[in-house]
Amino acid sequence: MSLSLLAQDELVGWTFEAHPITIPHRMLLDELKLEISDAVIAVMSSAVGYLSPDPNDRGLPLGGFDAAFDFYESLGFNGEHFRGATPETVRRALLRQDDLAARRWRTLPIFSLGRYCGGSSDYWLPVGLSDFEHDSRTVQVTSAAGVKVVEIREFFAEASPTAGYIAAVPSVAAIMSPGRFDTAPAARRALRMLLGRMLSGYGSVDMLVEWLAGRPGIAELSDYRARLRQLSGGERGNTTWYRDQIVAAMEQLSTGSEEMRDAFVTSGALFGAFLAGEDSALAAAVEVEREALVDFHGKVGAHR
Amino acid sequence: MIELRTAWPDEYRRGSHCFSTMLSNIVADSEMDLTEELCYVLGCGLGLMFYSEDERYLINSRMHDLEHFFARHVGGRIDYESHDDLAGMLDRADEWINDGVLPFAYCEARDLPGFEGVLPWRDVHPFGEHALPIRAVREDHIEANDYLWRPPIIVNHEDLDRAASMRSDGKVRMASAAHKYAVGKFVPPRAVPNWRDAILLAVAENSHLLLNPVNNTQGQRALKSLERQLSSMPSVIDAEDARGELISMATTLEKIGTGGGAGRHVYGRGLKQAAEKFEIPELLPFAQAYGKLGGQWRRFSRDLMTHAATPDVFADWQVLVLGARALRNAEVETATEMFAVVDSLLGTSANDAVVVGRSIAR
Repeated sequence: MSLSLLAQDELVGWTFEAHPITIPHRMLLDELKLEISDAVIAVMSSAVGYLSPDPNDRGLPLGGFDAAFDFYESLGFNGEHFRGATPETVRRALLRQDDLAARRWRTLPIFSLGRYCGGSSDYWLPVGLSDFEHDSRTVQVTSAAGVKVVEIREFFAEASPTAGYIAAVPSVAAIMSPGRFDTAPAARRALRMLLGRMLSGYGSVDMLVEWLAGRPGIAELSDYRARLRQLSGGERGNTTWYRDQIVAAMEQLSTGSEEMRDAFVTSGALFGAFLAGEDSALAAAVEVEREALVDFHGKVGAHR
Repeated sequence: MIELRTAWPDEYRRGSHCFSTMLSNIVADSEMDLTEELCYVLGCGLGLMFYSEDERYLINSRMHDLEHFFARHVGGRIDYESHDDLAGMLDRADEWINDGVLPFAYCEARDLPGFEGVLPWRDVHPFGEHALPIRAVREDHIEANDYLWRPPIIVNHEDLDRAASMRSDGKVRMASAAHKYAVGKFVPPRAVPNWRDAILLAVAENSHLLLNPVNNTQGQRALKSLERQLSSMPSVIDAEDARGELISMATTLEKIGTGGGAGRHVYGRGLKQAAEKFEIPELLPFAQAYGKLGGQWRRFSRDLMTHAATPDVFADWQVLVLGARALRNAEVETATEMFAVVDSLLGTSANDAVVVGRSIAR
């Protein structure tokens, strides 16, 4: 536990308001002087999925590594990725990537997943890695949980078995003319893709439908609530399991049907009720979303 | 979760490109069975990379990370990990095989002896990232599949070690770290995706990235760069080196995992299949257009080879420069029209939005 970014006692007080994916992504966007709202970042990263009932889930509801690949490629950037089985393998590749970025243009924050230990579960949060000290072998890790300087090898040892990174290669268009870099059309496509994944992707709504059909006990629901609350940001965190972000993105992008927006407003309130202790609200939220997703895909033409 | 097969097919589906062929074999006989061509379209295979460094001219006709784009568009994901040595890689592959998962190794195809005498790897610059499906791990060899052969093949550990070590890593200064001793697997979606939407989103993203590439090494800007670099080649390198570079480019575009025609034939067939299978007739004209573009690329490759074989390699050089320019014009025109049609079908363009012009700035 000593190498953990946040040990159990610290995690009790963990609280954040913004979606955790926005922290590393905004580090990059700020460097590039690109302005994209938190809600659109979350949607373009497909980082508003479902929390797995499996406690060993490795941050996938917040998008995992794909949250960076999706975001960068949706923006028209490249996402250069590396995942290694040993901390040293990843460390070597990371330092090379940092050198490469400097030769190409300049160094930029690099996306990774950091492991945070607390209670009976581990949490993998999106992090931004920056300020590499090649000599001292340290790196600054920035996430929704705060900022820490740690040894690179220890960071990846702790992150194992999910050790790796994705480095953004920004487009020349974004670098040269950030004020004219229009992300709205790509964001609309990303939202459309997100809705598809929520219905049929590997972490789709049916994952929860099947789990709830098995009638989980009070203890299981309580554990699920605790994990959902932690990833929502704790006491002062998001109370809708980020459904307010989906709704905000739909409004900002002027896309999505009224029915879909209403469904996420409703499910967001139900997720809030579940977080507040009402067990039955989880199944209700899942039902509302599944119905809306099925309806949406029926209208756009499914061929199954 | 969609149930995929738990072992590679005994009769491996052959194909044009290693990754798209492999993906088709992974989903073979499952609820989401797809041809290689459809995997290529969903993997955003339409692309072009061109880069020159130290008087070497590197070209590749497809988009990077095809397997990741495929996973992204079908709602799955690719898990992989790079190891320090062959033993680590094979241990993980063996573990996955025992779990009923289909592993594949990333390796340098030119170092796999099976390709000797089949593909002219020695004529091209190495570029790594070949997908080698692993069927079984034995004491001194693996049983594998590869995209050119239906029956399994044997690769001994020594050869695999060389291929998986990615010996070309670091030879291109501006390339990121290769995936050495890396083994990967495809994690499927929970259910069959809405194919129509998945195809349209993949085609929209692919054509958009081709038209708006990250930099001069990709997409239509790489085509521009190809034209410029060809234009200056006679004054940059000598005739013998030029001969080698022309052969390398032509071979990469026509022979190495493209199905000929810089992958445009595969992409065109994929669009045709998508149009018919998923009832998207609007894609049919583009299926034809990419078939024609494949022919145009094939003629361009022939011209490259013809020049390489001519005593005065630089004679009538303008044919190559104009050929590259014509390709760029045709590629841009086709991708622009295709993007407009697909974007309109998706309703994701600015004009289709309910309210246009709202800022998405925070």
